[in-house]
Amino acid sequence: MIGAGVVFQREFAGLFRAPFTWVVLLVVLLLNGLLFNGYLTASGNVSGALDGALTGFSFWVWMVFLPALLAMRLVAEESRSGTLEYLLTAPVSDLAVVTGKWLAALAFLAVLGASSLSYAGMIQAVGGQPDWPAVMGTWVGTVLVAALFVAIGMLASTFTSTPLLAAFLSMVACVSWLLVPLLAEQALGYVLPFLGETAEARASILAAIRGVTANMDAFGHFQRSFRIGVLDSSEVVFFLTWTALFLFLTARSLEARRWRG
Amino acid sequence: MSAVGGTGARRVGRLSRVGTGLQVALTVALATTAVLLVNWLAARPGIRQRLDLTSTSENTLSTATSGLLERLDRDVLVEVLYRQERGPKAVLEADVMQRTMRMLQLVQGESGGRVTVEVVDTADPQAWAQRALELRVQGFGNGLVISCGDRRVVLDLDGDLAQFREGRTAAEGYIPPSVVAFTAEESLVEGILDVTRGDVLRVYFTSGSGEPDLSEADAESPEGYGQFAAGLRREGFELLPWSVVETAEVPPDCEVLMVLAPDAAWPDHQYDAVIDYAESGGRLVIVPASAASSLRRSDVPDLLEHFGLEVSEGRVAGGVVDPRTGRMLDGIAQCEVVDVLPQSLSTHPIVAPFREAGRNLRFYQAHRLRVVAQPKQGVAQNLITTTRNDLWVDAPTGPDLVGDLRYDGGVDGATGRIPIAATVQRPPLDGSEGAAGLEAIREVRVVGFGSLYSFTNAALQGASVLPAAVNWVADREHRIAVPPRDPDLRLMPRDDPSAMVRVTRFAQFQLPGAVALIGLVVWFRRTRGSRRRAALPKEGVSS
Repeated sequence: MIGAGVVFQREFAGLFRAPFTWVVLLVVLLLNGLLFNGYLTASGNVSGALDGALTGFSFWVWMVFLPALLAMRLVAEESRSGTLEYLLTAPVSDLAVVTGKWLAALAFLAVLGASSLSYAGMIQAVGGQPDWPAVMGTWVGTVLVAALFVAIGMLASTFTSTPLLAAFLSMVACVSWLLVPLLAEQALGYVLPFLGETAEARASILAAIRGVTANMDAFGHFQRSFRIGVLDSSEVVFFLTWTALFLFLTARSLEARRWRG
Repeated sequence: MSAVGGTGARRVGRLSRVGTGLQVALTVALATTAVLLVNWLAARPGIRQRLDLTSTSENTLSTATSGLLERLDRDVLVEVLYRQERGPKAVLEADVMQRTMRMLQLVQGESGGRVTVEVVDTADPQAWAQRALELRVQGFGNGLVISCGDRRVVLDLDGDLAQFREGRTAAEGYIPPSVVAFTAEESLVEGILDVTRGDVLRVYFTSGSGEPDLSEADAESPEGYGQFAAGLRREGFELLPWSVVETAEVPPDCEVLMVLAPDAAWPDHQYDAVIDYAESGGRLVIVPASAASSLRRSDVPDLLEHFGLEVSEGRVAGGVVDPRTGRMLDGIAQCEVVDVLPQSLSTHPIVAPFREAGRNLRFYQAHRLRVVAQPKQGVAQNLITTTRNDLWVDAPTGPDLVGDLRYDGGVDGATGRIPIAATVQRPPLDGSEGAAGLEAIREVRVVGFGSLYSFTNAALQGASVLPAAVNWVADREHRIAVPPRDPDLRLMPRDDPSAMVRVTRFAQFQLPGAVALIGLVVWFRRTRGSRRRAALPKEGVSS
């Protein structure tokens, strides 16, 4: 735990010392500001505008690109420069290294998401009334989504030490995860006729597979709970458990470097 | 020899790699299975916890809606017809439809498969036209179509699901259109109730002793009961008069018998017939006349007493604060207006939906009506748990029995909290034959309200507490309508035109500007630091 804390401090401070981070922040804030203003001036509806800024289409675009860029910087770039080997031979466990790096990236994305909270604060300052509990709940949801996508991105980044390839792999992994239900539905269309003899058997197989893919549908989990201001224990468990699984796999993947040589 | 050894080592190495690979695959499979299992467990109804963080609980269906869905016994199809349109209201309409879809998802989830929601494909104009033709809603814009068998109700987005205010130009500039009220849940519930309405239930009301004739009630005049009667008809009740002159007994198909403000005594056998009907498991709604003289002449006090309820001759009054001077006034008509706050309502099914929705109930010219004796089996309950604690029962005086609306402790009694409505629910008397009309469980159900005036056109104002009471006595609690909700529209303040400018400037310029500035400082410090570091070895070499 202490090891993870030390790694987190190093990485988090490192992120904010890099001009690259500030460029990313600036671009995201400019685009989010534009979107937020667009929503707000169109309807004057405070809740709608904050929802658009926090969870609109742009949020999912950032969730594909930003974790990939951060994971590339945290894992693949360190691997290429050789500093990762020093870190892995330091007296901290692989899981602590992975957790520390993941926490740093997550904290950065949480700060980025908190810009929408500053919009809500500004609305409050000029006399508007944002629905604070719902806004905070949605923000917590965005942090949980970010946690999952950073973990996926980090796992993908451990497979190569070429930063650009790592970023590409992470993006593909994040997009694939988002598209799991759609891809599964497409694939089922081809293979379903071979899976069962009767229509009933096929329907039950279809229902079972849909159940599994629906369980993995991050977009659906987010939309039906956090986005609408609902805190649902099963959705929280979904994000936490899958994040934990990917972090575990990332740690195992890093460990495998040792025996791969 | 060495070649053989090398081959063996390669084989051992390969086996070792395969073994490690299998171990990794097994670990991944086990971990994934564990995650799926934990997620499955977390989604079980007993374990899953849901917390609606929105201030107005907009993601939670009201208790009345949940009750309706729980007891729904027919399949209902809700079709969503929505095409994004252009114009100043387009964004608002999209917002309303999005919120309606969220509500429909909750409804579908809670209905146990009874309610199906289908979105009509609007991308294909031909499919849209075909479906509109099938539904016989050609020319219909955006909204919902609720169907159950042949019955169908159409809810328009603009009007039924939400009420909009058009954009307009005012002195301070153009005011964009806005949503005034979001009433989708209420409209949906009313729609479902309409399409699932079963056979018509017959409600008889006593006549011939000065009672109002609900079958021909006037919907226009303030003193009429037309709106109340129309509300009952919408609920699927047929309103019929019962005159003891024509039929000695209460008609056998009577579902509910209403005793509304007789102002003269009934013939003895009518009183007995009403008691016999109720005691055999009948359902009664009793509302006394407003005037004390009428009440004294009628059999209503005795009838209520039979069921353990007591009605006062005097009406409930309380002082009124003059909003201009802050002085307490009495002796005026407003003293007879009693507002009951939501938290003062009991958890009885008649008033619980009002309590849940935060709706006040208002009673005018009400007598005190309270429980004085509990039945041996069953329960009698006041519908209002508390009122203002400075009310009094204004004693009627003089030959006309009229109150002076001024508090006089000597004749009016002590001030305090005064109940206005009550219910009795108990098994029928042993050996009595069941009331023929009602097919529900045999049970005596009685509701008494202290105020008939509250149900006139002037006073009703859309309140549905009496229809709710009739639904309850008819064993149809699930049909108790949902009052409208607070639309919870959080708009930018209109009184300060600079508010929008300040927020947009902050989001678009000030916040990104601050980040750009900090980023430049970081870049500058890094550049300067790296130059300094680059310079250090040179100095070392030169020295």
